[in-house]
Amino acid sequence: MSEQNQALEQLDDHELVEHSRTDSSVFGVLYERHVSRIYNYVFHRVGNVHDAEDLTSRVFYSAYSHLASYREQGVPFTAWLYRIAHNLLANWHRDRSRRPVISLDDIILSSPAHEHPEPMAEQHESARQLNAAIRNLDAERRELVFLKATGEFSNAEIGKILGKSEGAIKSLYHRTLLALRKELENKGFER
Amino acid sequence: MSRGTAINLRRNWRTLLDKALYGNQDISDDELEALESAIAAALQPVEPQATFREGLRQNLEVARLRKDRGVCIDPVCEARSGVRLGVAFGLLGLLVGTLIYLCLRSPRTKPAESSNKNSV
Repeated sequence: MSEQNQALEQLDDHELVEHSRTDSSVFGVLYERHVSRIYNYVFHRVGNVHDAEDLTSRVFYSAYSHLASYREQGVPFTAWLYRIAHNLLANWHRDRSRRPVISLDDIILSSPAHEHPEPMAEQHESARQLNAAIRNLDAERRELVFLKATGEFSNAEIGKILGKSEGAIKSLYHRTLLALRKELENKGFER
Repeated sequence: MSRGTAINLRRNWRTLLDKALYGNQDISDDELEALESAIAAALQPVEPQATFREGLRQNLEVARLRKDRGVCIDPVCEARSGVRLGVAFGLLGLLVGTLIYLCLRSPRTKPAESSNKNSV
């Protein structure tokens, strides 16, 4: 890695965005820093590698195209990226709802074994049940659960990503946890 | 009905529905913590494949070089430039048409104007 890249690695996201306004190659550092978490987020929403890769690509193309319009407004740069991903995912779900739908369970079960075999193999029964319960939630709640689980964002920041108020996020999360607990109880899990 | 009232009604309805579905129970801090850690464990991080990651990095680099040379990389941007080009050609056509019309029309009006001047 060059000395310039090492120096850039030390900068925070906002400083990198400022640099990228004059030197567009700096966007590569932002990409390397965030590609895994965006892919992870998208993968858990769509459930298959093909769409996850396609949507992740679109997130970064869109981010790169609109970087000039990005303004720091008290939310992390990652929240802006997640917001782009959220909008693309919403469009993806809408388009998909117009076509015949295959359940997410089927997609995951039918995924080739070479696609992320480690996490699949290591999942215990309870984790698989919980995963199934999360997949049964509606798209918005599933997204909320995932964003909370990353531990990266406050309720206010998640509100900015999902286009809701902080209070609405708090209340929705509480109800979602209740729903998940109920679902797990129905499947025979003890509290 | 105002938008605020509609939102409140929908929220109340959803809360009532949730209470009916999941019971009017609260969740203790311990339970909350246990459930959240179980969720975090269940949603195991998934890494993108190295080939995809590297491929996208290279494609973004190409996009950057194209953008630096003034080439659009965004489909929306390409569509916009198409519209702009269409409007420009339309205006040019209109201008040329107007000029041709004026050129063809002017010989007929000249005698009338001159006859008016003579009468004054």
